Amino acid sequence: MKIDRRNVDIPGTVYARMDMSIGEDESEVRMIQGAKIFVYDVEVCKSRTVSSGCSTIEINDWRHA
Amino acid sequence: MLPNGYTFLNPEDNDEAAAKLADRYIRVGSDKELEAVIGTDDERPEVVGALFTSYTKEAFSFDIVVRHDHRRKGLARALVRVAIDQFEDVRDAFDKDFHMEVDVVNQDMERLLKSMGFEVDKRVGKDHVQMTMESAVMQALHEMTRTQKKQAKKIFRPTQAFQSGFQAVASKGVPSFEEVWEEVKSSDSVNNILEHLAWDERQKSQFEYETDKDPEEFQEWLLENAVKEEVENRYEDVVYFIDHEMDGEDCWRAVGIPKNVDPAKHEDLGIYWSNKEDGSDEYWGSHRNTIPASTR
Repeated sequence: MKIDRRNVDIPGTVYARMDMSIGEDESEVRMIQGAKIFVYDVEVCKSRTVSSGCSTIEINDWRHA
Repeated sequence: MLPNGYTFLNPEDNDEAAAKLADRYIRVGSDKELEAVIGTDDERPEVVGALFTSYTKEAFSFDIVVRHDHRRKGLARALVRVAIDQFEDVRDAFDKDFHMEVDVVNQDMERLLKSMGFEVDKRVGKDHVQMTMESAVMQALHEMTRTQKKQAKKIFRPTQAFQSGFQAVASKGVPSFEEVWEEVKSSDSVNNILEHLAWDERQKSQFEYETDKDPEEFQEWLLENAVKEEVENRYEDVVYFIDHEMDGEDCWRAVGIPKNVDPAKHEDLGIYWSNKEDGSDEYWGSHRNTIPASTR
């Protein structure tokens, strides 16, 4: 999805990124619970450790955070 | 380090623009030379900040100017750091009374310099002060900052209560730095940092001898300032991202879902997203029988 600031929990995002250990690595953007978000696609993998065997499913539809 | 959107420019190529900028806001002594210039990081950069320095055998002095519409973005702090680096380069050539001094004509700058270890030497007018930093304080500040930074990377993590507190106030805009700092200060992380750092007896004695300051109190003050500087830098980066870069950015998250759930129809995708494709591991990904799905 593309970020729309109206859906973003701005204080939550600020504080998440203040975490010195992981804040910069994770680059978190925290959404407001239940916000409507437009999803482009989902990449589905059979294993969480091996990236092969993944397929991309087009979504192009609205979901919820 | 400069915030996103800015870059250091070659002083030799930008001396006229820097002088013009300085003329708008401050009076730079004729003995001072242009040391550093900050410009916007684009094809036709505009000069928005400058540092002028000079030194005698008694003191290293500097003037800083930042264009009014580019203030509160960390540019002045970056220029002070350049001044401190230059002071450190020449300090060993002088005796121990050699110090930094600066004429300050606005209260924001006075606050910034205090947070970096400067003290008011003389108040000339309501918004006009002369500030100094002793060489020994400078040395201590830098030693502690380096150590603190190493420690901070290991120790500084918001507590669970700290994070859930934010969700409770989640709503409108960017919290002020003061609000963020109050929360960070009261977290266990800062106390852990303070406990983990200690000067040895020789360092304490030497510091007391050179400055007449109580080393214990000073160390605490110093650490709080060093931590605050780290937090403030990060805060400025985050606010810049939210104000200038976030809208319209692609965003991802990785989730683990049970095998019997169709990822194409999975409805609730959660609140923890990242603007980096590989920014996050699968969230709470320890459930058994799940498949990871990276969602964009």
